[in-house]
Amino acid sequence: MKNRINRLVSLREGAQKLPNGGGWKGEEIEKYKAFFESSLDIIIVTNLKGEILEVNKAFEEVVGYSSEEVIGKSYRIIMDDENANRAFEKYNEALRGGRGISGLEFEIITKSGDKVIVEGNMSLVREGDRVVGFLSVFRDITERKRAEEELRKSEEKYRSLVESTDDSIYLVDKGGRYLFMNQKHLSRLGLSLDEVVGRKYSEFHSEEETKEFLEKIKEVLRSGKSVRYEHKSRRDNRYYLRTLSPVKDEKGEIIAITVISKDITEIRQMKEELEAKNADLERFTYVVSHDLRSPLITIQGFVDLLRRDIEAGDKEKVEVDLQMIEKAVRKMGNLLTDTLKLSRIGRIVNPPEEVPFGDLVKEALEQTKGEIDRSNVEVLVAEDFPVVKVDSMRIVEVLVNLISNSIKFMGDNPNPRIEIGFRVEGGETVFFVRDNGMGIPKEQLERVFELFYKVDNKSEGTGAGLAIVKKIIEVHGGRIWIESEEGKGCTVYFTLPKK
Amino acid sequence: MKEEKKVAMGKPAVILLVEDDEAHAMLIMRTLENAGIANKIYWVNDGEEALDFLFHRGNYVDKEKSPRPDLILLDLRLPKVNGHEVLMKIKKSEELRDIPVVVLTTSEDEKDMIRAYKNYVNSYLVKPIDFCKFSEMVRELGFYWLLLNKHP
Repeated sequence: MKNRINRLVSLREGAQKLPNGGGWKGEEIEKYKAFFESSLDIIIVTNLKGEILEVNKAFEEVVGYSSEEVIGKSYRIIMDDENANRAFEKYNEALRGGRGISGLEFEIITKSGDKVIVEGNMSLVREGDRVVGFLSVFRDITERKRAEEELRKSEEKYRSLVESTDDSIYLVDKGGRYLFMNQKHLSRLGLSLDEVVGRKYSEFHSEEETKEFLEKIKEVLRSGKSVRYEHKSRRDNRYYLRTLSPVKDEKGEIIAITVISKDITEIRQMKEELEAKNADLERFTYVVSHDLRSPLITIQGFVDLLRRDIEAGDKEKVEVDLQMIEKAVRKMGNLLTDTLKLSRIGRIVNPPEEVPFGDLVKEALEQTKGEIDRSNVEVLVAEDFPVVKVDSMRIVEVLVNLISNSIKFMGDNPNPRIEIGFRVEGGETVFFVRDNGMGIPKEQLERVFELFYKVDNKSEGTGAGLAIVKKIIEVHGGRIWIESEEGKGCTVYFTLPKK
Repeated sequence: MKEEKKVAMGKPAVILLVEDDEAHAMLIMRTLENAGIANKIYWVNDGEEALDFLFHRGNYVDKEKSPRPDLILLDLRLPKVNGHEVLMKIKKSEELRDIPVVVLTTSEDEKDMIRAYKNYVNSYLVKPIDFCKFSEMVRELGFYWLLLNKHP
């Protein structure tokens, strides 16, 4: 008890006279001593010089020093310079203002050197009309701070997860009202988060899209499971794979729905291309297996007949049998050659080069000179052809094919003529090879590009020519089509990439 | 064999063979001849000619040149008008639909087969590569449709 009075006496030393502004009276501290001792918060009483006069049990427990170790020492014993200086300023501020300060936060260094974060407030201690010291109450908030920091870090982690992705991610309530949206999706919509949150899906989408979306939400609510569907956006005409997943509260009740929307336009295109290629391949296999089988049946058949005809000594029939076998073998060889040719086109062998189209025509006419001369065909060639960027050899092959087709199907026109030219249509150059031959019946126009399709069964060749031509043009990224009127000739048109 | 020949002789059968492959046509005709089944085989090599023959058009206006066949052997991959279309037109015709049509093709494709049956084909046969089997098949189909099968 004597000790205590001494301390209060020391409190009076250097006491300052200040206007009355609340706070503690010296004797009250004494009065509430028991209460202070039982407090879970740290309580420190200092004089105006900052010397510690009193600490409670909670202080001893948290900071690690016994009261004997700190009483009479400066408050700086439990703080580093930065915190101590800040405390000094705050206490001066309190003195100047004549009232206590709340909302303080400091880092305290314990006896063992650990850091403890505390928050609290400070009141002035008065003796009569004079301020004689400070009473500070602090609460250890280290755990809370750490939890807050962890939460912040984990939020940061999830935020970066949501924001760094290329997918659109947003959260809607059960009525389709936006709760959150990531930057990726905001930039797609051209909006800011503030403009979106609280607004409805329907405000940014067409009626049709909204209907579909709400239907899918219903499905999620009904099943409690994720729902995935392909969506074509009216905004950019791209395809998105949307996954709607339920967000549940602790009771398992659905409270919101997350939407993750992935742009699958390219994947879809690739899939379509692949499907088209597969269909092509299937057709190809069908035709090849069918057409390669035919000569085999012929050979096998006539070998058998040949055996019988030899036995019977029928020389005439033997000769026919041999001819049929030879023909079939030749046909098979041609089919295989053409099939191989067709399969090679996919891989352009020569890199595309810029070349005047006229040069290619000249080369093709050179290669078909023999046929042209024999058939007495007049060839008209346009001038000032544009420059194209192509695999020259392949395009010459196309022209040779088309020219010899024209000659082959010239019919009995007394003035046979082939015209090679071009025209510009909608910014696109269309080349053509035109003849005034027998033409092709309308119902067969579609089929002429089919592999091994022959308009005239008696004509030479395997019927692969136009299939090869088409493939070459398509590999170049062009289109090819045919127009014809039976008896009046036909025109094959095609486009090629410009230089 | 004897009995069959007798029957065949009793009632000359007419076969229309629609086949674009000349060699195959020869093989089929020789097989049928050797078996002594058909007295008259008419061979056309595309779908359009087949229809001309059956409907007495073009080169076949003269009905003497194009008698009503007792059996039609039809290939599928044909120039001009393909086999499926020929089959469809036959089966749609009041006059022709009761003539048995046997598809004789190299196509084992299921789509072709299904389509042919949907168009009321009477039989669908795939040409085997082995000639013994091939000629046996042709012989048997001739016997079955022209001799065994009862027909109005």
